[in-house]
Amino acid sequence: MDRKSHLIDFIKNEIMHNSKANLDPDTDLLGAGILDSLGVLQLVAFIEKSFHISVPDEDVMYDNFMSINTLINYLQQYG
Amino acid sequence: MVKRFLYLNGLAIIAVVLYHASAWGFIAMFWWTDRYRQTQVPDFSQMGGGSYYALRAIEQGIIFGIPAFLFVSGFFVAFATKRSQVTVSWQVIITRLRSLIIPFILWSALILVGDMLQGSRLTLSQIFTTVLTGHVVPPFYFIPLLIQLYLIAPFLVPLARSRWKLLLVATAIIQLGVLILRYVEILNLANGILKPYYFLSRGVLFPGNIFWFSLGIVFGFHLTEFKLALDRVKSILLIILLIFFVLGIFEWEYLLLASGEQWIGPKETLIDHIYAGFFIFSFLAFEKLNPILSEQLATLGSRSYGIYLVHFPVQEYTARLIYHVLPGLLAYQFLYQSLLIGMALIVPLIMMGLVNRSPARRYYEFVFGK
Repeated sequence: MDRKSHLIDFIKNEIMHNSKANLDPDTDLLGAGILDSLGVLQLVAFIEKSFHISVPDEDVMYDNFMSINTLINYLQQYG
Repeated sequence: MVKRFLYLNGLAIIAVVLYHASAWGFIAMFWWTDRYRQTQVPDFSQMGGGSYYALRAIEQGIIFGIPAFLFVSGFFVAFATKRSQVTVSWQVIITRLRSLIIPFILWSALILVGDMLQGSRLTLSQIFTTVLTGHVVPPFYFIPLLIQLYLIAPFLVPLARSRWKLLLVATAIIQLGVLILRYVEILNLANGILKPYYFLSRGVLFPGNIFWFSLGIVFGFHLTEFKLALDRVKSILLIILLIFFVLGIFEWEYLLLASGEQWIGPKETLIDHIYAGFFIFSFLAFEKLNPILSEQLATLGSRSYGIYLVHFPVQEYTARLIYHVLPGLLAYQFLYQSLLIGMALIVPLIMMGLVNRSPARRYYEFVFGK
């Protein structure tokens, strides 16, 4: 499974608690109320654990975590 | 460091559960004494004993719970503000409020129905006021408080970005004013002249906790500077933390004595708030030191809102069940506390797990929040 599918699965199952939810990769995760303070922290922990990427604190910002696609773009720098 | 915020949230929910368990502990110690020994209640004879100080130490040590929650919420506001935006958008605030308010109303209604089934009678306006002010059960004051802070967040953000020192000083002064008013109330310093203003020191109103929320926002915008500063002074932070822990214990004994009352309900004081600040800073400063059971802490942290909403009624019913069925247990604080704490953590987690595995899963957000 690629990163994008992994992220979508995690957000649907652990944050939205609805595996059948429709989650467009361009949906604004905060604006749509999908991510809250704990959701962001859970997502950072998930990325670090699952992709073995240490996300620098300075990079934990709306602009990087706005949607699945912006997050994937951000993570691309880690190969 | 950001990942530590999840652990901090986990510690904060444990702190809240311990805090309320200790309150039930004091009730068993002073007001339910006649259930396990021949006496007239209230019986304050156990005051000053080992169990009393153990409960006081717990109560003092975990006083950081609410400040920590507010700090993490403030950090979220900073996160939720795009670089190109002047302030956080109302859309983000409104969606955040929705996920707070719906479960809050639901659990308030369920608890009120439970109370009514047991004979409590409230008019419609009383129900409305009780829910709105977070008085359904004592911990619920936190939700209207957080709602107020989110509503003023769009006005705090521009200051947190550009004039953060001014914001921290101004909010610290506001909070200090509230805490001073609380001392005036406890010690009756103004002979009742300020009584009409005592309501301002209630925990449900935002001025009493505005600093923690603002600090979280400022921290979010200036993370690198804070990280460096905390790293430099981490050992000092720990020493000051311990000093304020001890001071807090002595302060409360002094306030109790000076108030002339046999007992006063728990109220957070200036010393408590300073202790809470040093706890948060110390926890964040020791970035490389992972707390024990960090995975479990993260799990509790991520489910903290659901636990927060459910833990108090669970503790209340557990305490009342013990009072009626096993009153002898009330004399053994260690066992009594263990049961109250265990039930208050396990029951909400089981409920959340059950909803998560049932067809009702799609409504999880409305029942337990995010």
